[in-house]
Amino acid sequence: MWLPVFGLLIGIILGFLVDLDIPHEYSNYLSIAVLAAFDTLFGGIRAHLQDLYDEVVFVTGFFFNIVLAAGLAFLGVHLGVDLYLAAIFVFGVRLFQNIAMIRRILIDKWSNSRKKQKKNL
Amino acid sequence: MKKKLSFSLLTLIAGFMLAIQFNLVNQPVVSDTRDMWELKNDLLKEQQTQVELIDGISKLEGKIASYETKKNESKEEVLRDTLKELKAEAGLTEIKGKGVIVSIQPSKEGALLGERVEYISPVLLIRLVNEMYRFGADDISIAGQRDISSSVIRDINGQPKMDGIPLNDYPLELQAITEDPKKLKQRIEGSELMDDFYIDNFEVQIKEPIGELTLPSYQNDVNVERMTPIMDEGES
Repeated sequence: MWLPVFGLLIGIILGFLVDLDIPHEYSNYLSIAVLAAFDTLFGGIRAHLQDLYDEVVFVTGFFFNIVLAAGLAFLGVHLGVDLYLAAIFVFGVRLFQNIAMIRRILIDKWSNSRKKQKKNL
Repeated sequence: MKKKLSFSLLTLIAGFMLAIQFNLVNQPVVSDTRDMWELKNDLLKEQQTQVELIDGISKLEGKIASYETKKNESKEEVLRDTLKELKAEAGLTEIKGKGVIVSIQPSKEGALLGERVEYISPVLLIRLVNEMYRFGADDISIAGQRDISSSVIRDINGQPKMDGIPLNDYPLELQAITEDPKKLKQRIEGSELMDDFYIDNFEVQIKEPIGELTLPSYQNDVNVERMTPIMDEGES
């Protein structure tokens, strides 16, 4: 349970320490990629809680979504259409859905465990 | 466990990206708080740097130009040197150096016996000249005429002539320039040439002057037949 959180923390620390300089023009792509990554991560957490987690689907989804989002943004820039908004919309909505699902599942689990405790009492 | 590991790896990547994005967005904006005078000062400094840079550029360009001219000059110099060398080799220049003088005159014995003084046989003279070259002579002049590669010694109307100039004044002097006059002298003296001349009633004396000999340059035009310069097609 704690290992992924630990990984996230290490990643953040590493990112701050490395001081990697990305040109400003690419910040759009990176932000969309970050959004896609988090969407996939929360999707993975939800799937895990629902016992639907499939490693292959998760790992491929992670990279595929990132690449797709960045590619869409790139295409949008070259077509003059703000396609990255579509990516942001989709990922944002899914992010909210996933988090909501996670919340409900956690609440269910919590209430179930409380009921069990009451029964046991 | 494996699931967790891959998940952690991906969270690590996501965290990394997040941090970079955070860094990118939160780059501190340094506000410019300089007032007009400070700005003017800075501008002045920059202008000074610009002047220095331009100065440096012009200096370097001047250097390049001087190198170029030097290069061209040196090319010309090389060509001139080569031309000089070639001319010297072809015998078109006066040449000085140590050497020997070979003088040929009718023998006293022949004169005593009352024999008529014949002309020197051109064949014999050619042989002498060739032998002298073989013995180490670098340049030869005959009776004040420079012998070059296209010189001809031949019989014209019964007179031996070299490049059209008669060789019938005695003593006939051959001057030869060589690096080692002593050796040349000894070798000529030791050869059969002396005897050949004696048979024709000529006496050959070889002197080794102390000073330097001066051979004149070839006086006529060198006639080059059947030779044309190759036009180089601009390859340098």
